[in-house]
Amino acid sequence: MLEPDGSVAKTEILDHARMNKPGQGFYKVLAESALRAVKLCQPLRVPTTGYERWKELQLNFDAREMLEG
Amino acid sequence: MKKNFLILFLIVFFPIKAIALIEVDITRGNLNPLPLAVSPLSIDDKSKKSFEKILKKENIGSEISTIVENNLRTSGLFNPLSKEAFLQAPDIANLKPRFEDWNLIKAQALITGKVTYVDEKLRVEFRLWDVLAAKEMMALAFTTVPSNWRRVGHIISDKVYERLTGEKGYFDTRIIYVAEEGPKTQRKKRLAIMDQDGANNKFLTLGNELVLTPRFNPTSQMVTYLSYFKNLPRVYLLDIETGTQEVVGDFPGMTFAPRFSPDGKKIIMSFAKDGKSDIYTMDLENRLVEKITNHPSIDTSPSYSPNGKFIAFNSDRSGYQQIYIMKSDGSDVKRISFGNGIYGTPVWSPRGDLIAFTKLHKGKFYIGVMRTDGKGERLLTENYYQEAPSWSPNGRVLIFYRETKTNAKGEGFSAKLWSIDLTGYNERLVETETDASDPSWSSLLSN
Repeated sequence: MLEPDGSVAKTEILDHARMNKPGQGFYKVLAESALRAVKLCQPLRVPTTGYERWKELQLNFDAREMLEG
Repeated sequence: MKKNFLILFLIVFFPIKAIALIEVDITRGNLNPLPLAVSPLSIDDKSKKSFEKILKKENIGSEISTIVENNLRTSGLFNPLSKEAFLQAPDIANLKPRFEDWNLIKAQALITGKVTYVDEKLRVEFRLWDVLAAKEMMALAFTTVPSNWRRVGHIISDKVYERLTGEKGYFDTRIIYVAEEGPKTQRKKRLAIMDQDGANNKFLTLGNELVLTPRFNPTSQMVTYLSYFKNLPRVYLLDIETGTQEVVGDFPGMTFAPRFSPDGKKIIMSFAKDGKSDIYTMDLENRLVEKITNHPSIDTSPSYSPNGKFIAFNSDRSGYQQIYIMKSDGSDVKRISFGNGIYGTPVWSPRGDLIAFTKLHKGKFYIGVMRTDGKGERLLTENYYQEAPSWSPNGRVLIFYRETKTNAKGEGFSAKLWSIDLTGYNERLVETETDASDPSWSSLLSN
C-alpha cells in the first residue's frame, strides 16, 4: 500500500505459508531482502493523479535472471 | 544455482494501466554487501573484571563483536558499519533498539548482545534485528567455558550469516596447512593449524620430516597427511583434539594425496608403481585395501562426491592430464574436462554440484570450477603459480595457495594462502605466521 506521496504505507508478503516452511529457507531470505529493497526505494516516483488506482500494488519478484551463471 | 541472496532489488516504476490491482514484475536487482551494524556486546562491570582476570582482555564484549564484524566483512556479503557512527549504547540497544537511529546511519541489520560471567562460565545472548522492518529476526543464548570466547564470535557469525543468506556459515572452522620456512632449496615444512580467521595458530609437527597434503575428515577433527619416513611417503592419521597420531600403513611404492571418504570411514589415494599409478581405497576399520582403477596410465588426486557414489580424479590416459569421474567402484569412467590446457587436483564441492580444479594453460595457473558433467567451466583466478583448492564446508569459498616467482638471484620466493568466493569475487590473502601451502578447510566445529 502506498501513500499519495509515493512512500510505503504497508507491506505484506502474500505467500505466508511458504515463509516458515522447512526447506524453504531461501524463499524467506529472498522475500525479506525484497521487502528491505521496497523500503529503501521509497518514496516511489508516482503519478500526481489517480491515487485510488495505484495505491495498492502487487510486486512479483523473480530472482531467476539474477541468479543464473 | 544458488548464489548470493543478499539482493537489493531495484524497483522500476512501470507506466500504470487502469486495472483493478496493479502488478509489477521485478526481475532484476543489484548485488550489494548488506550494510549492518555490529553493536559491541554489553557487559556489566563485575563480569568485565572477571573476564579481564581470566582472559587478560579488557573488554571481552567488544572483542567478540570485533570477531563477528571481521568475519562478516571477510565474507564479502556484508558491510559492517563504523562503530563511531553508532548513536545507541550497547546495553540499551540490546533491550530495544531505537530503529530510527540505526536507520539514520543506513544499517539494514543490527546485531546486539550481552555477555556475562555466570558460575565460572561465559554466557552470551545475542539478537539480530531487521532495522527497516523494525523487528527481531533471531535471538539466541548459550553458555561455554571462557577460553572459548573466540569461538563464541564465530558461532554468532555463523548464525547471522545463515539467517541472512539462507546458507550455513563457515566461520567456526579451522584450516590445516603446511607451514614453510627457510630458503627454497632447504625448506622446513611443518604441519600447522589455525582458526579460519588466522587466530590460534599451532604447529603440529617438528619439521624433521617433510609433510605433505594434510586433509580434514569431513565428519570430524581428524586429519590424514603424508610424511616421509626413510625417503618414502607414509600415510598418517592425526586426531586434532587429542594429538594422537598413527601410521595408516606402509604401501608399496609411492603414495600420493590421501583424502577421506565423505563418511570418514575410508581414505582414498594413489600409489605409483612400475611407472604407472592407480587409485586405491583403504577401509580404516579393517585396513583392507581395494584397487579402484586399473589402467596403464597415471591416475592420481581422487576426490569423492559428497554422497560417496562417485569419484573425481586426474588421469593422463588421453595423452595429457585431464579430469575424469567414475562410480565409486571404478566403473563407468568418463572424461569431463575438455578445455585447452592441463587439468589437475579435482575437488568435489560439499554441495555436490561443482568440481574445483587447478588448470595450467600457456604458462599460467588458474583455479576454476566446473559442473560435474564438465560443463559451465569458470576460471576464478589466474596467477604465476597456484594450486590445491579446498572448499569451505558450505561450498561457497575456496582456499588455495599461491607461490611467487624468484628473481635471477633466486630471491623473492614466497608461498601464501589465498581465498576466493565461488563467484570469482572477494579474493583475499589469508594471513599466516610463516609461508604456507596445501590448505584444507575443516567442517563446522559446532556441528
